[in-house]
Amino acid sequence: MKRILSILALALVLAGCIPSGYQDASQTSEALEIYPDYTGVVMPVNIAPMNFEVLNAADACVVEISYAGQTVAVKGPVVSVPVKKWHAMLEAAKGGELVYKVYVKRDGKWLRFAEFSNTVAPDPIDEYVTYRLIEPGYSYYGQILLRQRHLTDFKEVDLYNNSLISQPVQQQCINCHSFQNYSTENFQFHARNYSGGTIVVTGDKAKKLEFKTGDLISNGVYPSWHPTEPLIAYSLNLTQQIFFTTEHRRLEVFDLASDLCLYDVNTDAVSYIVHDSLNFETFPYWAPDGKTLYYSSAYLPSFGADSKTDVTPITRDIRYGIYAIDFDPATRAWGEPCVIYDAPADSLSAVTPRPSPDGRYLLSGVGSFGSFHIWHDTGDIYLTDLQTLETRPLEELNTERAESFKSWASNSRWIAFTSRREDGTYTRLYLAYFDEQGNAHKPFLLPQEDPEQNHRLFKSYNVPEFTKDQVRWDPKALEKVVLSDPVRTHQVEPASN
Amino acid sequence: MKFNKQTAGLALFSFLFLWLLKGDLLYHMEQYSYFSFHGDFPVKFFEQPGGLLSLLGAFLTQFCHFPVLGALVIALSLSLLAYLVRKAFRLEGKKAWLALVPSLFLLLFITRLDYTIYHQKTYGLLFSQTLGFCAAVALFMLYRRSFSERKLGWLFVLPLIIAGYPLIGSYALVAAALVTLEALRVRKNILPALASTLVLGAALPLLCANLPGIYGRMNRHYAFFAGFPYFEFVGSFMGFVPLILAFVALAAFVFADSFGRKLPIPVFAACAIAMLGLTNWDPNFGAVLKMERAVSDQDWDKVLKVAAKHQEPTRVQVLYRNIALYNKGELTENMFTYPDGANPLKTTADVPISMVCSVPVEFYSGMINSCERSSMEFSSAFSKSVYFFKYQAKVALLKGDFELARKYMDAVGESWFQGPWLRRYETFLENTSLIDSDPEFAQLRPIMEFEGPNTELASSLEICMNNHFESLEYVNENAFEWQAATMLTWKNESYFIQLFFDRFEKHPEAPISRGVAEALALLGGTSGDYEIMEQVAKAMASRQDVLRRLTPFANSINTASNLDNPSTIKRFKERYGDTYWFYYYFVNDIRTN
Repeated sequence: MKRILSILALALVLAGCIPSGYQDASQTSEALEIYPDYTGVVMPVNIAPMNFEVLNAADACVVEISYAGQTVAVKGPVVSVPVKKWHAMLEAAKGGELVYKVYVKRDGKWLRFAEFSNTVAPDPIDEYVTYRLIEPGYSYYGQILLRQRHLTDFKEVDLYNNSLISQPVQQQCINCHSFQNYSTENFQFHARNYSGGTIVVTGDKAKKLEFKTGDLISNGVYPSWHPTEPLIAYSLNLTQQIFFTTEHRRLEVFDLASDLCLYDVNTDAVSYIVHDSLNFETFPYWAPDGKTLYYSSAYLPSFGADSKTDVTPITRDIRYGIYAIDFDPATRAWGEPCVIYDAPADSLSAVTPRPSPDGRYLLSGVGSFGSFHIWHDTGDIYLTDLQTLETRPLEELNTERAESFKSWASNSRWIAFTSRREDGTYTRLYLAYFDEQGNAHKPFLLPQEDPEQNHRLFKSYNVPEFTKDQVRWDPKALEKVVLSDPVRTHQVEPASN
Repeated sequence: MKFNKQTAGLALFSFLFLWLLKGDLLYHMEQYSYFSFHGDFPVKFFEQPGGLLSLLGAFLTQFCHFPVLGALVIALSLSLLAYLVRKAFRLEGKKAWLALVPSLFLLLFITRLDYTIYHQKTYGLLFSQTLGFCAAVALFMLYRRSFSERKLGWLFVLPLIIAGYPLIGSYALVAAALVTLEALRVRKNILPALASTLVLGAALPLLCANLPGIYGRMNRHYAFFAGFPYFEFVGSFMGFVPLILAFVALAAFVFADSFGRKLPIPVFAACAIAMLGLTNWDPNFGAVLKMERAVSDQDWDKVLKVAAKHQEPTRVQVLYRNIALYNKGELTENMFTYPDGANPLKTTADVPISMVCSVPVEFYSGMINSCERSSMEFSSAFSKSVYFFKYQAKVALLKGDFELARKYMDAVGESWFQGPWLRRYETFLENTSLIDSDPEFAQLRPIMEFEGPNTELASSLEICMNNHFESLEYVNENAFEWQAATMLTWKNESYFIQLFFDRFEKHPEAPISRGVAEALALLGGTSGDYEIMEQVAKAMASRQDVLRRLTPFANSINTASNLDNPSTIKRFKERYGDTYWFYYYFVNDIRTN
């Protein structure tokens, strides 16, 4: 037995050893292929190890990483650096570069690929990102997870999941998580269908809301917490989806009507923000100072009542622009809406506005029509300079496939966004550096301990939201809130100027 | 480990029974399963107590790709249970027959499976329950041999439940219950054993379900059902009956010393008869599974051959047959030569027709987005499977989404024995130009040129098909086949006539199939519109045979006093049961779900 254990131990040691002789490699002109593509990116100083796999054929593989005058060798083809060692490397290389040299052994000879480097930005990224993991399905629910990922390592925990509660017949959907000002002290998410309601957490307290009240056209849908006040802006949406049987686009998700409302967390009062039957307003988001609410709106005078006839040609004509409306936190009075980006004038449709926390820029999701750009290959991310109101596509982030939801880190230097660039179906989470000059840099896939994780995952990442800290609530505690009796909201008139 | 004659007999019987009579079920279960050593697949099983059983079950299910091999592995697992039962309960001599009883019930658990298998959420059903009983009996045997006579032997219950519940779920509680019964039998430590079983057996599942920080995805409703197939048999108590009977048998065996010598063989015989009697013998269920496999293999002749053997089919068989007919270029020629499929799916579970067959039917009728949607929906709501991954990969190939196709093919390749399928379809990734020349895809391309009106999600497959194909516009001959077939199925005569004349105008030389001719002759003749009748007569010039047969049919219909009379229906069925006319007059509602 001892002998077997000794052999096993030796085998393990040998398996972890760096093969020798690679230093004498000859240069190859062959293109290096690694997955994920972590070449030429700018990474945060506190990011988790950016493990990757060398895809080029190799009998053996070694990767040298040089930084701040030091070099470490890592055995490939799966290049995995221990978390502590990685952070020491990033700290030493802060503001500088990590230079990678990849060696492969073929037919007894070592070859060296052209080196590549990644820049270590001194700006840290918020430590946590919360997202929903869900199959890109349409109407059935499987296991849906609200997950919170610690970005400085690979720890990932459930904020909530529907497995706790779903039963064979009684299924539950969960969506639209939202935090107040990058803190997990106050947050909300929706549960739909079985035991549905809006779960609002404020500190150690939590409640389930039965939102729809008065003449509201729906429950609260897309939320945005006011950065300082106990207020949440919601869109109200009558959403429908239609399916295409053979064309490349599989479905279209659109609204038959939509409005904006304001919910007071303390009093459970709901009031309209904008309620205009000729305009479809949706995707509200507060400016960092809480004095402006950005949103998307489409002017559709001929839509609505006639929508049941043949919606297909109409859906292609629905185009949203980005608007802003002033808000006085003291009086809670609203100003007049004004246009920030008139996308329909360019035959485009801009949705999901996201102002940067420094107030200087605004990101929006832009496609050729509609509001659900994750299903549109034309879906791209655009940037508006709020000082000049100039808008441009953020080419550094965009591909021919759908880019959709995005959010800013609290220091305005990092953008998290979702994209279907890998395979057109499963949405993945990317991070990108955004410098002080207003330029985005090459994005990179959310690092995983096993680089193959994204290939083997059959769920999409939805709605990445940064936070500075971890949610304190256990999923089972939230489950009790989900199962509790709901608190009913009541409708009030909006405050007047 | 030495099997006695009875156990060897059980192994042989189980093997032959499963291989010869349930081979298609085993293959289906393998296709509707998935296994991977990589990523978080094995880890996910431990989100719930008892996950080890499902994980092992999923692994072993791979062998059912070859039903003969699958039957062998199941037979061995049942024999292992019989062996353990014999040893644990000391069933020797004639009592050895009793050792087979739990295995018979576990065999019944498999053989009585019905359409429930289409909404299975738990992996490894073919093996997990047998393995659970094996584990419970093995733990009981350990107790009986080493602890039952000891003063503090009852303490065995504590580690049994604490370590057993996470791994084998409530089967640990089954073992604890047997231990308690054993304490009762030997009249030693009754109270401590009973108390520890009740207290810990109740407390641990509840703690696991309610304590924060552990089992964060455990549904508390099923805390005491961990390891059991509760998702599959909700609302269907009968699904659990074989498991309950197996447990009752084990509980009784604790007291086997007091059984009379004459008891074992009659009990065994009664259980064997019950097993055979309660097995699912529904011929349509067997035919559906056989056709499903033949459709996957694109063995259209076999699909038609199986269909022909079952003349009282369900709608699923009709739809599979239609796929085969389309691929053989005979859809509207022969679709009405088969019964309409009025027989319901025999199942106590709520399994709609769409859940059984929409993925292949949508794929082979060119509704590839719908196929992708159904695959995604079912695999999300129930479980990921090789079966769905394969269709998703094929849809991705057809749509030119090659990275996506690669992803699905890689997933298929994770499970064992998928090599031949993988080699065939990976060829298309290596050389994408081969896709259009492949016969399977070549049949689909023309129908994919047809895009029907876009609609909201319909609950029924055939309503979806009707929504898709109810277009008046003629696109091409392949699409026409499905358009006409769907319109005639739904007796949408005005649309059909307009579609036909659109086609006739564009392609007057195109042949008129039998089904189309019968419909045209009937609908034209009954329209009362002379212009239409004239056009029909012109178009039907090449199908005088149909017109000749219509005349006596029309006379019979006109003279029949009551078309609802069963004898009238029977008479018409005998003479015209293979025509659209019979379908039109006598099939009033097709079973859509």
